[in-house]
Amino acid sequence: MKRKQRYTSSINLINWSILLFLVIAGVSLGTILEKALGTEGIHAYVIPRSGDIFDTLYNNFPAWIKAVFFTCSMSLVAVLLSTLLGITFGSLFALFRLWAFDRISQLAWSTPLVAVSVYLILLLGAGWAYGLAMGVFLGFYPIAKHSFEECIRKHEGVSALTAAFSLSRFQEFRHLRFSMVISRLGTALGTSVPLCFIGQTMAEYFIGSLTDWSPGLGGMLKVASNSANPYGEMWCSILLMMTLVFCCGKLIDYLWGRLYPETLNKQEAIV
Amino acid sequence: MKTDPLELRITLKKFYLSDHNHSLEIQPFEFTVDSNIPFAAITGPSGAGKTTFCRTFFHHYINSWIEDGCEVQFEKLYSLNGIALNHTKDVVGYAPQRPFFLPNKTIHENLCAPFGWKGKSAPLQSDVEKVCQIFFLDRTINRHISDLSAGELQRLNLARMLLAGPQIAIIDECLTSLDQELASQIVKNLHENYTDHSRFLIVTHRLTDLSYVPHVWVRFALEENSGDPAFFQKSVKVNIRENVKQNNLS
Repeated sequence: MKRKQRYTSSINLINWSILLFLVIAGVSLGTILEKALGTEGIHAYVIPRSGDIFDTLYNNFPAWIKAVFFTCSMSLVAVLLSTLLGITFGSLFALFRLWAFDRISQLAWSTPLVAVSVYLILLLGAGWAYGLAMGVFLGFYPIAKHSFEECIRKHEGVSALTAAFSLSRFQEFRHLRFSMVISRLGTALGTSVPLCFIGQTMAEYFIGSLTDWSPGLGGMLKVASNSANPYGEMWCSILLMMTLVFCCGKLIDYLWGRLYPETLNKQEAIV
Repeated sequence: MKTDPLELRITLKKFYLSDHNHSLEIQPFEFTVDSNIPFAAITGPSGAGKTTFCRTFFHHYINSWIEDGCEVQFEKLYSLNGIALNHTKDVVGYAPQRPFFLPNKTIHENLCAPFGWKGKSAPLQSDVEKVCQIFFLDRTINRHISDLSAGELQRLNLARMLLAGPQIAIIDECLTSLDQELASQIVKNLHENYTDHSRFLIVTHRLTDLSYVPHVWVRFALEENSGDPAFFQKSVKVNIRENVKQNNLS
């Protein structure tokens, strides 16, 4: 088991190293090309130029901090809401044996949710909560699907405990299934959190009201698209958003690993 | 003549299970466990239906597993008399191959928590300590579940099952991660401490686990006359057929 954990850690480390290398290589390549070919040699839309990005950040640092804070806080509220709603609905569907949810979820997953959600922004978005609605809409599904599947999964250990202590279906859910849902929630959050960030940023870009306190990273992207030299700001927004998504994903991975070490996998690997 | 209060005669009259891929049929058989021979060891090749047979002791498994009729009959004597098939789960304890433990909890919490769920009083501390000593968990009782090895988890699985005080304890390959010496010692401890109120059905592939206790061997055989008839008191013929779909190739 320890060997398997070491192997998984090594794979994770390699994945993150590759991502870090690609980011550094991309920015470096842009800088080298800029030096070699001049500013007109290659379009700034294609490759980020580190000079532009750092200038943009340095010149308008407080605004970027506000944008990151706004996007981050609204996305995390969206994660919280989608988690609560996802667990509640997924578990209720399983508790009342609403098998139709399984087919509906398959249908939902096969449709381009992100594309559809752009149109839904116009219906869902209202006031300052436009991004929240989008984030919850996108982040809800992975959590609900995870909860539903954990609650309906056949597990002979759970069946044996239920029979031995004559638990009712509700007691089985409350004491056994709910623990299973929570202990494996990290994987579902790994999908849900990036979707919440993407939904929030998209909503900010499309219908964000660019007030002084709530531009968000999507709002900064929108401001950039209307300016004379947009690419520094655009790349800055995109890189910041990617950083936030990766950091949150890694943080959740780490926290869930600490809270719930691979207990369930070990139990299932006994035989 | 006084009858043994826990004489358990298991008579299988008919067992047929079928799904889309295969069908399993176990021929009728009968064996008895009592105070003289409190252990029954069920053995046989993988896929012969040992676990499936054990699961049928719970009524709800029958509903969910059997499609074409299954009948497991207990001919009960004395204290087991009057227990209907759908009430067997109240007296049967089942330690499955893949147990479930509460994540993020200690051994002690995993042993005691299920009693609180049903509003039952928590087990006595002396009982918990006794069961931990029997399964050599007394030094690790406050350890977190995630820190336990596969063998320790199997011992915890057995301890939790026996703490509920079942009259019929089914142990489904729960000694596989233990070394030979420890497995034999645990079976010996079971014999010394629990056979006054429990009878044991042990599904195992390792024939030496029960060397030091009186037992009856029941072998599920896929072929006629397999195994040594002098060694296995009961040899049960099992038929497994693959349900091949008729492809209309012509």
